[in-house]
Amino acid sequence: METTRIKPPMEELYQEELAALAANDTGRKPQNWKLSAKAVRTFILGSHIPLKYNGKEIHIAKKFYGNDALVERCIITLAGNRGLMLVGEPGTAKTMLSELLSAAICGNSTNTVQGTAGTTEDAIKYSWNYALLLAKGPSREALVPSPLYVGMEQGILTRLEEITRCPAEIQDSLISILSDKVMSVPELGNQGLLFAKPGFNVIGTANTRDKGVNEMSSALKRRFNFETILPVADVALEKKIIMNEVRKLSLLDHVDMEMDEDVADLLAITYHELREGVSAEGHRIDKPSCVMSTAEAVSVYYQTMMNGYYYGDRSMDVDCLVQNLLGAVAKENRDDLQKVKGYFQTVVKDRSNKEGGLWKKYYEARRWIQ
Amino acid sequence: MEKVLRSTSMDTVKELYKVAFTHPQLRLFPIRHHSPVCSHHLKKVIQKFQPDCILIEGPSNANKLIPYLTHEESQPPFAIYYSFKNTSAGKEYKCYYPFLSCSPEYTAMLEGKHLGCETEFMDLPYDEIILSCEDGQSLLQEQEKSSYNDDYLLAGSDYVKYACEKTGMRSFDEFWEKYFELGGWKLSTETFIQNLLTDCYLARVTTSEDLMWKDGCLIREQFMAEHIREKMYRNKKVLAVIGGFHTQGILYHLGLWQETIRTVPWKSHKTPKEDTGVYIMSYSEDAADMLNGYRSGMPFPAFYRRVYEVMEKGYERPFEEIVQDMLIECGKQVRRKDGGVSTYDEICAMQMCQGLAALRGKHEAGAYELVDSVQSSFIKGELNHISQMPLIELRKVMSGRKRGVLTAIAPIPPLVQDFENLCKKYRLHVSGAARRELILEPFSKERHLQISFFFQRMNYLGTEFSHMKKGPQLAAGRNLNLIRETWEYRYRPEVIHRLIDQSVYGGTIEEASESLLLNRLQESLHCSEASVLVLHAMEMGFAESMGKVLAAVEKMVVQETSFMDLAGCLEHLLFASQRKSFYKIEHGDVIVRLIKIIYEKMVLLLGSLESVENERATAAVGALKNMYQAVLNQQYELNGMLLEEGLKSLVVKKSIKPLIRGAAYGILYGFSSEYRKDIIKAGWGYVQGSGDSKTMAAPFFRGLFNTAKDMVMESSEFLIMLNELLHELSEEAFVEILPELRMAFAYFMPQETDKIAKKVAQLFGRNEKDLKRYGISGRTYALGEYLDQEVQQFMEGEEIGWIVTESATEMPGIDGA
Repeated sequence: METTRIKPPMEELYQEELAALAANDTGRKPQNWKLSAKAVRTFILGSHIPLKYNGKEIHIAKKFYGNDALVERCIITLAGNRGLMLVGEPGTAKTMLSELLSAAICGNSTNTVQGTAGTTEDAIKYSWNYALLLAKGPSREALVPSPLYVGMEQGILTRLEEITRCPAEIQDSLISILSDKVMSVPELGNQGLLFAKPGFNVIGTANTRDKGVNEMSSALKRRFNFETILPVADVALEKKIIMNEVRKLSLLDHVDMEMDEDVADLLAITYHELREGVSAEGHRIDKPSCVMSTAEAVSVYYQTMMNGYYYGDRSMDVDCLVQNLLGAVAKENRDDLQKVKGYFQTVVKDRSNKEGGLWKKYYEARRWIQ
Repeated sequence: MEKVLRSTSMDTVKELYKVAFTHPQLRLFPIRHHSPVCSHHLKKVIQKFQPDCILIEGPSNANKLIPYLTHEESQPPFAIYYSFKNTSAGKEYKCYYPFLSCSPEYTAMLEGKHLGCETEFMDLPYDEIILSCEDGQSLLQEQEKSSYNDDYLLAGSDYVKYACEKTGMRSFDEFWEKYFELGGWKLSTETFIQNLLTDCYLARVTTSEDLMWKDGCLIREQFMAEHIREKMYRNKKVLAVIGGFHTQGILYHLGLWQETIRTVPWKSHKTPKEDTGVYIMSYSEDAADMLNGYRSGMPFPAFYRRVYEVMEKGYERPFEEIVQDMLIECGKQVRRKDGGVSTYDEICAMQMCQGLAALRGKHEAGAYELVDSVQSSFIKGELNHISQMPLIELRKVMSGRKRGVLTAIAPIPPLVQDFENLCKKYRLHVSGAARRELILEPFSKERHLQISFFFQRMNYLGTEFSHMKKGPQLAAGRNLNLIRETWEYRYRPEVIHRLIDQSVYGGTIEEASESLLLNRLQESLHCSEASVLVLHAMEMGFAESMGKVLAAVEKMVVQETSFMDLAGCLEHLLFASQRKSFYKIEHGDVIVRLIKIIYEKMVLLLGSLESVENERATAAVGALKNMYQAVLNQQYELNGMLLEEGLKSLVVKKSIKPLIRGAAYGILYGFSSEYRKDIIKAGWGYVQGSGDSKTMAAPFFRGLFNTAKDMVMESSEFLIMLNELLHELSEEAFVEILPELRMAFAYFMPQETDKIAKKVAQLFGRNEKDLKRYGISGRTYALGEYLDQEVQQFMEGEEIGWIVTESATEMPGIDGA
């Protein structure tokens, strides 16, 4: 079957799970939420007990790994008065988590403002259909609502991606909205106050590598609860994440190829060690300056998998893996390639001598590092 | 694991409860150490059962201390401190057994006192526990602080790890709080005990018997069962308070349980009394907190203590009460330091606590919801080592700062008694933990000298009570010109702990530190290390034992064959000799004699300097200088000719380092100016030599200028030598020797440097002023100031910038500006 979208929204991807959870949900729901807080938790963190729905057993898979307590805090924050701000290094699943939360809570993960340096107040609040405005004057019909406006009007979550990339004065326009939960539209005169409906809240994301949250004003920070998502600290978990995410991607793209667990293990170890700057044996490693996130590891694995599927013999080629790894590493600073070279010449070489097999092939593939 | 949980062996737990809790003569009460809910239920059981005897899991060599623990004047936290010196193995062991007000063991003792029944510890004595463990197990595990409590058996079991994973708990402590503390106090005691026995049974079933044997667990259970049996035999109703893990083992050995458990043959090791120690000490909550690296049981002592207090007062939701209080306290502390947390943040945090508790299916918010809420609501931004201050403050609030109080009649180790007496005598403030400063004039005031001795002794005992901020440090050879000492001192419970640790050395501070010093002499030290002990003995005022110390040093000097070690010894003894009167040491003649012995031996060993390593060449030069200084000091009556002859032989050795050769020549010049010719010849030998010898000229000069810089001042020959050297060297070689040359001229005073500049100028027929730099001239400075004013005025006129100006004055003599 042909897929009609590259990346369907979470509520579509997990439609059956969400429906099963809703059908079996006996918990108390915050006003206007589609699911109770417990059901949202189950949706994101998974459950061992399958749910019965439409005569089938639906298994709720775990979708976010590494910190269950963080997910719980996010859910409770969104049920309260404050917004939720997810911060962390790129590739730590901030966006994925915000999409999952939105899909579960209000069934809509696409109500999003993408923050950039050029984001204006129109994109945050509202703008106008100028033809209608001229023809009929200011009216709700002529108003083009922003995602934030939609969120307030419908009582759903609004996602603000990379909020700290927006200019500070644009960010600050959120302050009164988040504290008073009202947006003023002066052009509409007496009808010009939009009060947020219950269920409205904001999830922001900010990556700490670029601007981070340092330029956010204190007044705006106080309107949020902050959750820092750290890179995965456990190699076994990182491998599990790689396998799960790649499996999902391959299903979407109909890449019918068995996953190679050993390669996932090797990749997880590589990323973990380069990120931490120390090998399992205690070798000190020069850390590349680029982001060595799990998301990058997933990407490298998947690219290699696709290469094997479309051009190869449906197996994971280690040479291709190394090439893709180098491509991921070299995107910010070419000096990082030397650090990867150093890693191969010490840690990988050592392991190749001790363990042979896949590590030996991996070490032999170092010839691609120029 | 799943099989175990689903199997019919869960019926075994019901059977276990029946045996442990319904026997007419016995109640075996399982606990977790410091658990408030266990204390709560234990109290009820004691009141209902009315035992004749209460036995508590704890080393039985502390039984005599129980009356002091339960005395009206005593307030927890306190700890029993056990020590054991295994003389045959040459090792020492110690551990702490803390008690908080919510500890079930403490509750048992208090209730025992109220009932007027026998209350005893029933475990093996501490030394026997140590001797029955394998290395790396139980109390023999390497850790910063050793705790008697064996919660790790429960917390570390496979079952608990599995249970935490399945229930989404981050740790055993969070698991315990949710399933036992938060709802447990509202349950009936029977239900609570059954739940706890289930947990303990499953933990035990998943722990290998081999591990339990290596751990000493099996022997201890045998011993405790024997203790219980003995009381039951006397027709007493016995209530035994034990770590729940031991329930089956003890019941088996009492003949009340069918499951077979390995019996271990055991015999007392009959440890001599003087090798063991057991003392009671007041403790602090933060020291008892397991998160401080001490595995004592439950974390956050202040949190659980306060929960227990309100629980006993009958509050409906005791945990949430304390969560709210601590949120407010944490907020206050954060505001004091940072000011970034508001009351609204506290409200949001409280809402977060309640929301999390509901989401996690807990009766009410507990410690972990509190921590989560502060992390989420108080930290504004990315969580990192800078922003985590609110969590640090919260941790302090939850750990607590409460210090226990012991009754005045509690036995205090003599060493601690002496410490307290001396603090009183010297009027030192030890009532709080604040740092205090004291300035002493030990060489002019007798009382100050005594206080200095006291501080030095406390330092030597490793108590960290006192620290010299400024003052003469003999052993380090620093600040010897200072006559005042600035000390900082600070009392903490750790000071008492360390004193107790050292109490095996003596009953007074003086005795213990002296004994420790003399013990140190028994170790195989080099004479330079032993001579440091002479200085320590002086600093600590051990005039009487100085004789013993010096005798030991002499013995080592006789056996010593290393020039450098003897040099170190000489240096220390020279310090000692110079300062002996300050410290009222009367062994001056012995020190002088030793100096002579060392000197003569060093002269004999001068030849060994030919092969000294580069890294030690500078130290060797220092040694030679010391020898020469000692010769010049008539007090020591040293034969200078010996040194002179020795140096004459040394300087002609082929492979001697140029630095040492230069220094030796300089000293020879000090003996007689007739060596001048030889020195100049040696200098030219380097300068006009081939290859690398030119670069060796720099260290040669450095050595020479270190010991005889006046040679440079007397004539220009060395300057001519240097000039030729600089001409001959390539740029690369010059850069290589530049650091040495700079060091060579660092020995000259500014006036001497000026004179050298003058000589250099004369060499080249130039004026010395051409070579000297005096900084900026007055005229240049005046010009600069004038320009600055003009620019400021211009900028003001153009309304540029914010520079504050003074009124400009016209500068005379500046034309065209």
